[in-house]
Amino acid sequence: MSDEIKIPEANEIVPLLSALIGKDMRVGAESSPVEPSTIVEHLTVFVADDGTPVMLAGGDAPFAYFSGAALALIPKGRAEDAISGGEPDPDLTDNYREVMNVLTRVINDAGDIHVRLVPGSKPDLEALPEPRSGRAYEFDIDGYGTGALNFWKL
Amino acid sequence: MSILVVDDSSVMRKIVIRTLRQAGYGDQTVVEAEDGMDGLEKAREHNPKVVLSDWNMPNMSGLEFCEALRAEGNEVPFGFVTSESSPEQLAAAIAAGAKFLLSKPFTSDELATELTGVL
Repeated sequence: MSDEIKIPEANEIVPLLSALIGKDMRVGAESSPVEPSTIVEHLTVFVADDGTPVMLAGGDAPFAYFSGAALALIPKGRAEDAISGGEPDPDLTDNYREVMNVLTRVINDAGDIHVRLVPGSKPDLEALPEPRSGRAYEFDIDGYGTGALNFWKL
Repeated sequence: MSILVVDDSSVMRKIVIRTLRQAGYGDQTVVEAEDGMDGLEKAREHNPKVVLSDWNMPNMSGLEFCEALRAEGNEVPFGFVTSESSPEQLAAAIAAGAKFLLSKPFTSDELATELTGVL
């Protein structure tokens, strides 16, 4: 079943997230994803209808905090403080979770498998299947900054 | 006339309210609730003309909330706004008594279309 999961293309992600955030987003570089353990606090697991984990996705700190700030029109300085300070910002993190929630639709629209997001944060990576392949996109959020969104097929 | 917006995310409630304004409903009173249980109490108190509810919420889900309203004989027009929509979910929503299911993110035009049909 996991062979059918499809990582969405950047041009499939931008329209929906831009519409949600209310800001223009520009696509930058595409690359291999980072090691999941390096961004575990921003990771989200997506499961198929039978509960099988099929995809892992997550932003780096800049993506998480810039998107979380942009969603609620919070000044970018607060996001920058969270990024540079290294301490979680609960409000920005909650807002980022909503961005990832909407990403569910992007993943569903892109592929053949219907997925749903598993609520919560910091998934137990050791309990998940080993990531098989992945992709990362760099996004620039207008008025905020640039961050990367990573995807892994499980 | 009041519109009841139910979502466990405060930022999503703000986005729905913003979209309601953009759709031309800025002059309506908006009542907010943070889950289905809160929504049920607010519906009893405020008698809204339409309910916009998230699907996945703690304490009482959107589906349970819709079913509870109908069980009380409350036929208020009810619409879901959710990030994960499937044919099965739409069928469950309609069976529970909802009028529509909108996928997040939705435009003000899409919201206006659905509300024009129920208000």
